[in-house]
Amino acid sequence: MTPQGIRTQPPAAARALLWLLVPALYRDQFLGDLQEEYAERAMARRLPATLWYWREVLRSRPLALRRQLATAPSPGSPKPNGRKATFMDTLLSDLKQGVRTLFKNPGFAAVAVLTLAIGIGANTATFSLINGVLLRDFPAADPHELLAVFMSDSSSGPYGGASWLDYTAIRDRSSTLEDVAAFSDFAPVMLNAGDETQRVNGALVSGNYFSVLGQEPHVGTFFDSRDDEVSGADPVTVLSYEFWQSAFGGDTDVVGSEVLVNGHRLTVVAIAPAGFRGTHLQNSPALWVPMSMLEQTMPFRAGRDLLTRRGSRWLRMVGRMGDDVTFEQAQAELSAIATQLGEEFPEVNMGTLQAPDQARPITAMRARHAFVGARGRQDAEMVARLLFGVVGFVLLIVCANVANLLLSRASDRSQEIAMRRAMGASRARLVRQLLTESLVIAFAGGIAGFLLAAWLRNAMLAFDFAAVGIDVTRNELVLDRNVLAFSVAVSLATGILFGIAPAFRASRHDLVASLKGSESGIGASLPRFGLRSFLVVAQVALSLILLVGAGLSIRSLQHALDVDPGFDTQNVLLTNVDLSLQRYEPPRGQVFYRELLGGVRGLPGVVSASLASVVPVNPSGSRTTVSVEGYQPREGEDMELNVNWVADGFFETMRIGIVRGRTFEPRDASGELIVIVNETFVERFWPDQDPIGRGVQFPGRETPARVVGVVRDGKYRSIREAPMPYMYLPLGPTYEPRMTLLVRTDGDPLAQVPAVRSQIGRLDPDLAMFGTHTLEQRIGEVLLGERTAAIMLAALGAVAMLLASVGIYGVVSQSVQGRTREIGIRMAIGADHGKVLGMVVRQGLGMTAVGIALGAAGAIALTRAAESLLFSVSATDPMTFGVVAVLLGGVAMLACFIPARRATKVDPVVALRYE
Amino acid sequence: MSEAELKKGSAETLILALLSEQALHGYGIAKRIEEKSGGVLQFHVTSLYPILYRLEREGLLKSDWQQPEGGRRRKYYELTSDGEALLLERRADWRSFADAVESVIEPA
Repeated sequence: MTPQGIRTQPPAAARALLWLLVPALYRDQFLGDLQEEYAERAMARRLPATLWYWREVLRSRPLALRRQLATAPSPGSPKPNGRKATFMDTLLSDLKQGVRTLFKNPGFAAVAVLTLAIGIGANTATFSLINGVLLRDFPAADPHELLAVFMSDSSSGPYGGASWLDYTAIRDRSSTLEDVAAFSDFAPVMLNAGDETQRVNGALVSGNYFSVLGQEPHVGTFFDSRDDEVSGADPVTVLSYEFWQSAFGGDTDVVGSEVLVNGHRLTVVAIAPAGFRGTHLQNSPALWVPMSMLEQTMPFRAGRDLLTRRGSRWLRMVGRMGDDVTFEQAQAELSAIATQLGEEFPEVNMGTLQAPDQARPITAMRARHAFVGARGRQDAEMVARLLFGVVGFVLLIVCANVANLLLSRASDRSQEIAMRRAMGASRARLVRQLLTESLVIAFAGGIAGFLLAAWLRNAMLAFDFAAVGIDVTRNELVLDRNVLAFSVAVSLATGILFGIAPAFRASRHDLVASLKGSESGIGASLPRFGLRSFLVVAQVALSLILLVGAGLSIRSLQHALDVDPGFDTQNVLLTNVDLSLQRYEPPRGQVFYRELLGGVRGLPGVVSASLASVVPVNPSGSRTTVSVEGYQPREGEDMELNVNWVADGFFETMRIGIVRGRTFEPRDASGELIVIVNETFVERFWPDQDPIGRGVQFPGRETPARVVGVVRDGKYRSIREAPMPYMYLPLGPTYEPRMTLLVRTDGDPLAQVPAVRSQIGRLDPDLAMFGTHTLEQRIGEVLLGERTAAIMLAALGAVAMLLASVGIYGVVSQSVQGRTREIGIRMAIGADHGKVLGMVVRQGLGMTAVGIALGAAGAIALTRAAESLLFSVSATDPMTFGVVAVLLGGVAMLACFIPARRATKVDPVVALRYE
Repeated sequence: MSEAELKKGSAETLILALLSEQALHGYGIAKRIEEKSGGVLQFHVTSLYPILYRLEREGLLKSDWQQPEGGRRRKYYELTSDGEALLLERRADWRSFADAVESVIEPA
């Protein structure tokens, strides 16, 4: 012993590791032995001694384990020297046992792992979707400091846009927000780089936009200027990554070069990072342009007026909170600023419909809530909840299935288990071991499920989620750390869920009976199936809920498809033109429209053609506040109604029926102001009166417009909407630079695309047409959400039903086996095949009936919560419930049938002899 | 026989022989083997523990814990009389085996 023995201790971490790794048997000795050697070496030099110690520790484990497993008695039984094996010993041997068991029963393992893969995979895929949409942080530096800031107008709610003057007021007056940036919605621009001209979406942003967001560009340097109000000060632009890839092939030489935006030269100073959308809700703009270039790049945005008119609320705002500023502080200051603005500029900042005496509020919202989802966070959350509910159910069903499988195997292993208990293994020990086996199965299923989710991801990418309110781009739908962690957690939970009951059940066996190898008599067989039957009942119930969901959404879809939108959806081609980009003055624009319609109508295969500013069904449209002759609006009644500018021939092309009066004619393009309204308009404002000739006063006009016709109602903004009043104005007196061309054709509308394009090109070769599709396609898109829900629920419901029927088959089958003696006796005393069949089938149907009843109760409770999603189908629609119940019952009967037939084949003589 | 097998078979004998000279702890035994054989025979101490354990169980060794000052307690092994007897047998066996092999492989 060295005199310095006390102070020369080997590293504590290594000692701790040794404690864990080395079997208790040798632990003390080994530690002591190593310490002595360490002390000797450390006398010479400390560091090599430490290294040596670590090396010895790491070497000790494999050697010890190999030796130990070969020579020592099995863990769990009392040791001669009174010490138990370490936790690691037992865990490792349990794991090896679990893997061995899997390989010994490949059939069972395959079924279990496969069904688990489906359950876990579906959940993982859903989570990756949710992760991408809801959990991911808003992509910016320190996103929790970012706020979206909204203003309000008189009636559209608190989440509206701001004018430039509002924005500068907030930016300059706020001390809680260290900087505020403004950005516009999409503005289409013609972009010319090299020889090709494209129409792309751009966004105008304040000069400090990128510095507020705080992200690094992919290439180059973001612009950062304070000269927003100096026209033409910063002729620069930033391109989006995706646009840069598609238009320039990712060529970095683009940075520093010039592009033409609406004829104006801008230098590309940076490329945004991949997947960066800035603050835009849907796809990213192709380019960002600083506000100082407003006049140059957005000619028809009323030019400079946009910076000076207080009432033009065309901008949205994002602000960054200062250090140590809380959300509440920022919101309080914004409200104070709102009050100031209300007093200083009452015409535009004071009074809403709900609160006419209060300043129009300024509302802050956290960036991750505001900038997520095509239709906002609530929608995304609702869809997420539904999705998770559905796949959660499937997972539960899968767990029940696997638990059932394990339970059925438990009785097979009863001898093995009894022997181990006789040898002294404690119950806790056995439970732990069986549970570990379950976990091995669960993790195998989890790995398979993760792979399945990866495959599903590719399928999901092909799907347009924006249509159902979830906004997720390719880069966000990744299988990242979160998703992996989720997958592991779900596997663990699943393994415990389906493993714990069988583990307890298996370890509880009656020793004597099991060792003798007899399946005990009639009396004991019934309670043993209690747990398994319960599981099957649960499976049936869950399947019913899923199937009812499927049924309801299918019916909902059918109804939605049956809705008459008020026009003929077949054979109509739609395409858009934007005259503002070519700086058309109104007279020239009118001429263009006239000539275009003339040319297109003359094409062979064209039945009729027209123009419209809005084509139904469209969630966005135009509204304007009117006053109606002879009608006094009630207190708080919203007189902002939907309006559509259409050319002559619109109603004929769309085949919207006329109820009274006439439709627009070419001569209406110039002439007195007229308007055509729909039936609901008349019902609401002039019930029981003749509407023809009555007046509707539009803002900014001296005289009211006269009603010349009434048309049938239709659906305008959404298939599910309630009837609403609608007004049509002729294209002449009001000029709209952006119109949709509608062409009704003889045959396939898309066949006319080249001809239409040449007509447009004939009139103006520089004008691009975009957004070409058919009316049928548009209606189809509108119903995408319903279709998806129906398909998904039906698929999952079918899987659930299959699993449940396998479960029923398993239980009934095993029951038959267990009751062989009983059946033999019955047959011996005269029961015929029919009676035996009946007996077996009754057992299966009994479970099914209970499951259906429970499932129906659950379904009623759940579907009521989702009633808002259904379309003219009651949440408790009896026909759906009835069909599903019958379907499940039929499938259950089939599942019982095979074991039932086997029961009838029992030879009574053999059965009675069987012990 | 492979080197591993040779080692496995002879480890017991080596242990018994060393312990007949003096009481040793596990690590000490490993070190002595390496020293005395001039580095030719090397046993990692962890592979010796199970053998020691078994020999003790079979009554050929006995062990005792000793607490030196300022260090961990150490487990020392020494031969029992049964162990001494077995060692004599083993030595004799080894001698006759070695002589037999030598007489075969040595050139005449």
